Amino acid sequence: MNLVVAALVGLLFALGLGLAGMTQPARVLGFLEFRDPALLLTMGGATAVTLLGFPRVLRRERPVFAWRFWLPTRSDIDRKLLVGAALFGLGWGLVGLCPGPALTALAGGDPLVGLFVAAMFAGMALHARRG
Amino acid sequence: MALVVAAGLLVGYGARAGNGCTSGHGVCGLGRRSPRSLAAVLVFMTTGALAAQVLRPLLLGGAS
Repeated sequence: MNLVVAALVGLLFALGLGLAGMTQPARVLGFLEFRDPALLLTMGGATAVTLLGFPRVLRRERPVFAWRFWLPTRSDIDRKLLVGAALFGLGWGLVGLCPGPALTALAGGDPLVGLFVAAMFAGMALHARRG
Repeated sequence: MALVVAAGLLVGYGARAGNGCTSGHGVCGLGRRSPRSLAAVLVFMTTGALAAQVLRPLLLGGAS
């Protein structure tokens, strides 16, 4: 993909996450504790855009900035998916950070966020080694 | 600190094993009406709420 486009899209995504409060663990924890429903609007708003936008985009023969679409094809719900999602949720709820916002929050310079991201990559590597 | 490391490991491993995260399954997957993503979102929302409301207070002993 065009590097400039990738950088701009990343910037837009990070701005959205930051503005919505996803990069602040306290806000995310408030949401998961059912104290602050605002992030439901974030998720709902973002999903509304993809729900309405994706069908239109996919009517194209190919994306504007790539030579083809890369889309997941599986639709079976297996054990690995459910166990993975469950573990992911536990980690997310323990500190209030998930991958995209954690990478974005690195820019804030908090060493704890750096530690989280390092552990996150270690977790990914662990999965890669186990196959 | 230990909590942050444990959570990071879980998030990294879980995102790979579960083929996606909050953005991947939540925003992109739901937008494609993927049944796998709906299942993943329901599961990680549930365990996320559980971790935040039960596990976290337990591990931190009341001090947040």
